[in-house]
Amino acid sequence: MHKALSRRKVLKFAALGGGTVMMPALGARPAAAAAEPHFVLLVVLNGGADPSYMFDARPLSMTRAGQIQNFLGEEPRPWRGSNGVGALATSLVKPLIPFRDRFSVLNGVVMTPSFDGHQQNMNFLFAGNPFGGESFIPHLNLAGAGTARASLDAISLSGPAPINVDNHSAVVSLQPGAMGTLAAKLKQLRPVTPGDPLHDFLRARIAANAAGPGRLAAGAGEMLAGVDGARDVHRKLAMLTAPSLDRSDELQALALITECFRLSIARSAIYVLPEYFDVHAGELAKTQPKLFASAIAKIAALFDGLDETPFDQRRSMLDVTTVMVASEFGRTMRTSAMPIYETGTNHNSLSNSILLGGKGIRGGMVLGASDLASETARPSGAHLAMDGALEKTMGLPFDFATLRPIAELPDEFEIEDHLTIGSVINTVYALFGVPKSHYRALGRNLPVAPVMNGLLR
Amino acid sequence: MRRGRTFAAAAIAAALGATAPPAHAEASQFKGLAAASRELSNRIAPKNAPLELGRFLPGEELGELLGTWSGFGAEHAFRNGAPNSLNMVIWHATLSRFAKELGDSCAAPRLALHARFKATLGKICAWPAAAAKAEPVLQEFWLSLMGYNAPEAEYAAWRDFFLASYARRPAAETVAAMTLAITMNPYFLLHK
Repeated sequence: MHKALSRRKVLKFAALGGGTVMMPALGARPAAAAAEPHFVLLVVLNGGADPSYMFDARPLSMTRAGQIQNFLGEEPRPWRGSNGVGALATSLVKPLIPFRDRFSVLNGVVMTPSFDGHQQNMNFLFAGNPFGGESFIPHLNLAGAGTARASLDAISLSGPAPINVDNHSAVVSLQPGAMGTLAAKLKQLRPVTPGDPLHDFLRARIAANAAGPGRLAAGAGEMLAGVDGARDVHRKLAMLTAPSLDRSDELQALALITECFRLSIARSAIYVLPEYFDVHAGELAKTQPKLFASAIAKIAALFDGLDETPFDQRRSMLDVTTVMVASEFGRTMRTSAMPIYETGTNHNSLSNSILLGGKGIRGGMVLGASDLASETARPSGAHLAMDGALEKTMGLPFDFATLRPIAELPDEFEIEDHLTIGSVINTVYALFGVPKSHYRALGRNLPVAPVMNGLLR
Repeated sequence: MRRGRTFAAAAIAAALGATAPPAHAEASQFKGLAAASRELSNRIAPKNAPLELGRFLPGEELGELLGTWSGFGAEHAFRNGAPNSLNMVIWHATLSRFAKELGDSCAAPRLALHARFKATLGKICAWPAAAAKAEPVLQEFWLSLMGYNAPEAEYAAWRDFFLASYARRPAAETVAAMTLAITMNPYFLLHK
């Protein structure tokens, strides 16, 4: 966007509690992160958020027909993508309308078709494996992945993400409230100094114990990487301006994210929203309009904050940050044996919705779609094979060349035919220049999940 | 639209594709501040005045970043225990401040210490006198802080370093450095 810095932005940014952007001119801060700064904000909707309350809604006629719960009780409206693909959206997404050109909606995203547990699908979102493994977040901070490495792979603003991965040692939980004191203390403390005999001895013992097999050696190896990066982190954290604690949680989080990105402390930020979307019981399902209203307000506040906060004198934070909003899976349309106005919903890994926006992403589009879009829609043989009770929606087959859903009713489920979380992550990988060796495959002996090149700017 | 494989085959393939995580050793994590405090306290502090390393943290609430147990519903998990640059900064800052207090205790008591460790500290505080460099004195100080967590080679490396590099340094500085070198050792900080 390369917008000039408006007075409004400066004032709003100052109110956010940030401060580093002004500092280069004063000669007290280092240059901004890298020649081509690029960061990621991953917003997690924890518990499995129902896409039908956002951008993959269903007409009320389906509720009247007993097919899908709708505790909002309103007719959804068309949400037309700039690529000609449409969806139905609820009025709850209204706060996101000002940013509709800055993000695209991905509907009908298949997670893991074989597991429907929270942790399995959260693992699948992060690692491409329901049992865990290597999370994609650190891969975005690899050497040679497009920009200079940040000191930490990510900061997590809401405690550790609820996943089981083995490469998150440099994904660090930070609480805005604790950072001011830390920065002040670190200013007073001498950082670890290579060349100092004691430091060199400490490092040598850690290195000696990192050599060889075993858990302790592996832990010492992580200590060694940590101690080698400690001086840099100490220096940067000492420069950090703590967010003002009288702001909302989102604005405090955003101020801390901004500082960490600008000082190149972290490549990514993970923000798990406090709303919990796991609504199996009818009474919980009825809270969804409030849950989504609250969560969407926070997402909108984050978009707004990113857009209004300068990264430097030419760019906003949104200009340098790719934003992804995702849940571990979607939800079923209803549960069996409950009246439609009393039903809760279960997990649905066959159709999820993801928002992808910010730097490098073509905004305004709708990609993909889920099936059973009306009370007269027929399920495919593939759908019946995966969900004989017809309680779930399922991602429609997807044409990766045109980025459009395919209106066919296949007899068999072929993962290659669908838009999957693997494609979403590989598209982010492509954006960051991550080596192809890390790209996710669609399964064993199956091809790499296609990159959605048309989604990239 | 490709055909030919059945849903069952695809589901199995997807399940198999979800192979076990990469086969590298699971890394030991930090014990956490509470466990490190408890171990040190048992070794050097009187029972009625336990040592709390938390008072040496460079900021409130930062202890959680050094490894902590957290609960969610019926589940209990150890979080933030993987070493990284940030928690190494916090450990270093915390343990440096603790080590300095112990070093300064050579001149005047700064910490509540139990009688046996006071005697141990008294001997090592004679540094750089030859008596403080005697093997039994060094070993006693090492074991008082490290316990029996580390192999003998770690002690030998520590001893040789201080005999060579701190031979003429004052007691407070040396004891502080010795303490930091023990407590920043992987055998002290990591779960074995």
